[in-house]
Amino acid sequence: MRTSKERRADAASGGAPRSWRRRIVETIVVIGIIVAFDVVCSFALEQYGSLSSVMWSEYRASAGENIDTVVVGSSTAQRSFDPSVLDNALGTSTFSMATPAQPLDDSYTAVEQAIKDHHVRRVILGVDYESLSYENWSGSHVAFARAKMDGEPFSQAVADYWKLLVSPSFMRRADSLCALFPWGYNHVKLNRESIVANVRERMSGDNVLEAAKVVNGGWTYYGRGYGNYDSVIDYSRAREDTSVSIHGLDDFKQTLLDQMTAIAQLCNENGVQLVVVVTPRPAFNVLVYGEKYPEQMSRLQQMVEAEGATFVDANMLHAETYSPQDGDFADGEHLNYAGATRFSQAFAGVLQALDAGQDVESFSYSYNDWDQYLASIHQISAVVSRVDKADNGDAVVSAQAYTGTDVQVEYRFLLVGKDHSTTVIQDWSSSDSCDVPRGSHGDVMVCTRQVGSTADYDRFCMQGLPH
Amino acid sequence: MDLLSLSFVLFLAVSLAAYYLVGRFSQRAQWVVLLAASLAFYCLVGRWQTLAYMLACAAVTWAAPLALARMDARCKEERAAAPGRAARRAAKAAWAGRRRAVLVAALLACFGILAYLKYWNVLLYEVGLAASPASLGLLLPLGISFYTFQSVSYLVDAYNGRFEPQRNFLKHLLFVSWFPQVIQGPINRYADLGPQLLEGHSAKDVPVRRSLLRFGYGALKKYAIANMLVGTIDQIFSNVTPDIPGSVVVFGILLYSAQQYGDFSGGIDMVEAASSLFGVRMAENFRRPYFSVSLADFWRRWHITLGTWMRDYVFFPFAVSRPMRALGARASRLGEHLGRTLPACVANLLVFLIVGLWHGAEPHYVAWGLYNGLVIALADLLAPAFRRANEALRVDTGSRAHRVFCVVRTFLVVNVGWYFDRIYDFGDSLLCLRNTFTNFAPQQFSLWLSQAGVHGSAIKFMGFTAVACLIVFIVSLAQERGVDVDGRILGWNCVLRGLFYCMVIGLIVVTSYITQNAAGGFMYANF
Repeated sequence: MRTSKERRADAASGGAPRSWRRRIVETIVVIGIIVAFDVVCSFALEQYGSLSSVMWSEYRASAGENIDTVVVGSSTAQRSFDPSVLDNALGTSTFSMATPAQPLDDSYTAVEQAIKDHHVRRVILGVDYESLSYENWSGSHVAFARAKMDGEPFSQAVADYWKLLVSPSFMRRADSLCALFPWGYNHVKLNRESIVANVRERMSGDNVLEAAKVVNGGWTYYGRGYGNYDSVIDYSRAREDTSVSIHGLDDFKQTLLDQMTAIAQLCNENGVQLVVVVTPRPAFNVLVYGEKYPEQMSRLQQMVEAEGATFVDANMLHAETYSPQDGDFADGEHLNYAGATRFSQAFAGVLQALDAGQDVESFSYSYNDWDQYLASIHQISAVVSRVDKADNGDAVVSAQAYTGTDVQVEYRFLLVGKDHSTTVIQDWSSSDSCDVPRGSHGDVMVCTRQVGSTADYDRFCMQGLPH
Repeated sequence: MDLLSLSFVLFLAVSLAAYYLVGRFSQRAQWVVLLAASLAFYCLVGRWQTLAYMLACAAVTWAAPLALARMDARCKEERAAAPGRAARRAAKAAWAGRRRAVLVAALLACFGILAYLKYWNVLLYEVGLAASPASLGLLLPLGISFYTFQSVSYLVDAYNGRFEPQRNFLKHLLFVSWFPQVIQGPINRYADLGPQLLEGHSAKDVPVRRSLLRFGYGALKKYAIANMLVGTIDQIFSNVTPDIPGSVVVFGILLYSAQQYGDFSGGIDMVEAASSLFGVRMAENFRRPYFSVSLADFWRRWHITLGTWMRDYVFFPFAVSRPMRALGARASRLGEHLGRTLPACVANLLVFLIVGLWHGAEPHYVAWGLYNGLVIALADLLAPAFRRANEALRVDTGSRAHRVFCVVRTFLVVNVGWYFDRIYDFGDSLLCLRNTFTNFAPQQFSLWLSQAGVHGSAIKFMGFTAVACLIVFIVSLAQERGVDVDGRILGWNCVLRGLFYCMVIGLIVVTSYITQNAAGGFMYANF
């Protein structure tokens, strides 16, 4: 009689004849374990109460209501347009289908669904620079598709997910297989507390909206798909807040421009007015792109207008149309609730003008007149710094103020010790760099203000020292 | 197309279905499916516009051996008809010259294409005649170095009469274009691969479970190790400054050591597995290189097929050439050992110079190649001194401790070499090497990393990589001891196996998502 060890060895070598029935049973057991693992992990790890699931569940809940305008796009769109403000001003019925990091092909899906369900007459597509320059949003794709699937019949849900797996951005990448394990894409923090909280929330009976409020601390839902935060940007941390530092700086991708064209064509075919809006951000986060900004944005504008859609860059609007306040922003890319309210009021004016047949292009600086735009900035938006080592080994802190071309800037550098004591190491001057005395410890505070000002500073930032 | 993707799985499934379906009717026609799949893959993954280069390489290396065979036949006829011994010898010499001319012309054609596409722009850039190493916009064909070297091995073996040349161009094209090998090798030999591609296979003879297991193991190495580390390594070495702490450099190089191995050997595992699903076993390219006991041993375990190619087609012909024999004779006056090893040392330097150039024409690759050649040459030359030192110190060279010492020593020597391989500026390589010894500064480690953009989350995520490395280490250690690890795993009961697969899949899924923005294709895709 053969021992179990011998049987295992034979089985492993493939040399022993194994019954097909046993092989099939074993394969089914292995696949079953993997599926069970997937289900358990999805239950425990996949974020319950994601903002995508809020949007889709609220959208479905509005099935019987009239919706004539939808907002689509990523979080910048989601947090720029307050549907109630637009509706009060325009008499429309707006729903926000924008979701965090929503890629353009998902915006297409959302628009398609809204046209099918509600025959909407206007689509507001909010974009930013990264909407057109950055492609890898697979986590957002998965969250969007999973949230859409939630209320759908099984066959439609499977078809939707298959469509995601074979989509151009997934098909040739590992995502097309790994997305079969969706918990890997939209998961809670991988620590015990977060996992337990997620399971508890899922089992508590709360709907996704209630769960979203718990998950996204500080987030408030205002209805019609729209939610926002009240937090205000800390300009001294502008360096971490620039989109370039987060995503890098690339040209617009042709594939993304093509997706934008597809949305425009979808709207055209269905007689829907498309308004493409570059959402507002603090001036420093526009200036950080340098000449790339007008160069790339004008490409987008030409493409949008060639498709018969309207293009508005909120960052280029004249001050009399829209002028954001410092406290309107939650970070370098997003408006907060108050900022979105103010912007929505201003934008409603633009739409009224558009409805009245006016040329809204005259409301903005043209990209060809980039210098005029730069001259129109009268404040220091932010200051950032970096530290280098000079050839002699001393640390040199360099600062860069983001402001308009006509603004005269001066800088002051202070050493902030670990006990919070401050020592001026270079007083106010036009010099934007400063040698740090050897042996200094702590941080360097870089202050900046307009020449002639007597304020302690207009903006400041902190720079850690390498030794 | 990633190897771990739905498109590749579908491509593989369709190819396998067609292959075994055709095999049910005619095993002799199965190779046509492989050729169609290979050409389709090349167009899908590479750029179809560059297919012409591969076709040209295949045409040259197909036609030249046939011409050589015809010359052999003509030579035999002439020698048979020759009136005397001197005439026979003259005929042989004349035909040998012509054969050599054909060989050289074919080699020039193959290497000429490779040199033009891969090195010309870099060369112009280095001498200041091009704006950038890619400014000419030359399209580098997928796998050009691999299929060129493989084709040349066929050509030279045919020249040496090792086999009958293939008369059917399409069958030869299949040998050159076999799709699992074009991404990153291995560099197969015709005598091993050719017959397997052309003979039929039946699905029931294929070790499917082993192949899938190996594919998964490769994916684990590629995604959970290599891709996880590539971003951090790039952040460390993309802005080398004079004050970069040695501790950071060593950290970066150790990560590179793991990344390089995970990327290359992981990719090889995946393509070997894909090939074996068709019943075609390609040459092994890795044999646990970080367990090597010397640098020469390392090169017998790392990129094995490149090493054997260099040995057979550069090292041996050069080492036994007339000038080298003369050098050996002259050196033997200074000692028997020197006379025996000096030609080999010079040949090693040449081999590794070419290996460096094979990776790229940039000076740091050349330096890396020469470093390897120099270390191996010195180890050979100084072997008697080391032996005497071991005897004097009474070192037990057969002990486990000595073996561990040798493995660690080799690991360090290999890693010094990685400085020249990974740090893309030769001056920066030297600077980093200097700082490793003169400015280690461990107290600056965290701060410097954070300033280089390596955030705490990246370090935290390396926990996944550490788990994957641990798995690879345990598997490698077991394999090093002769354990059939695949067999052991496949011998587990199915529940245990299922749980194990879940763990591996979990690691791949999580790391694939974490790293999706950091990594491109396989590092060796264009070599």
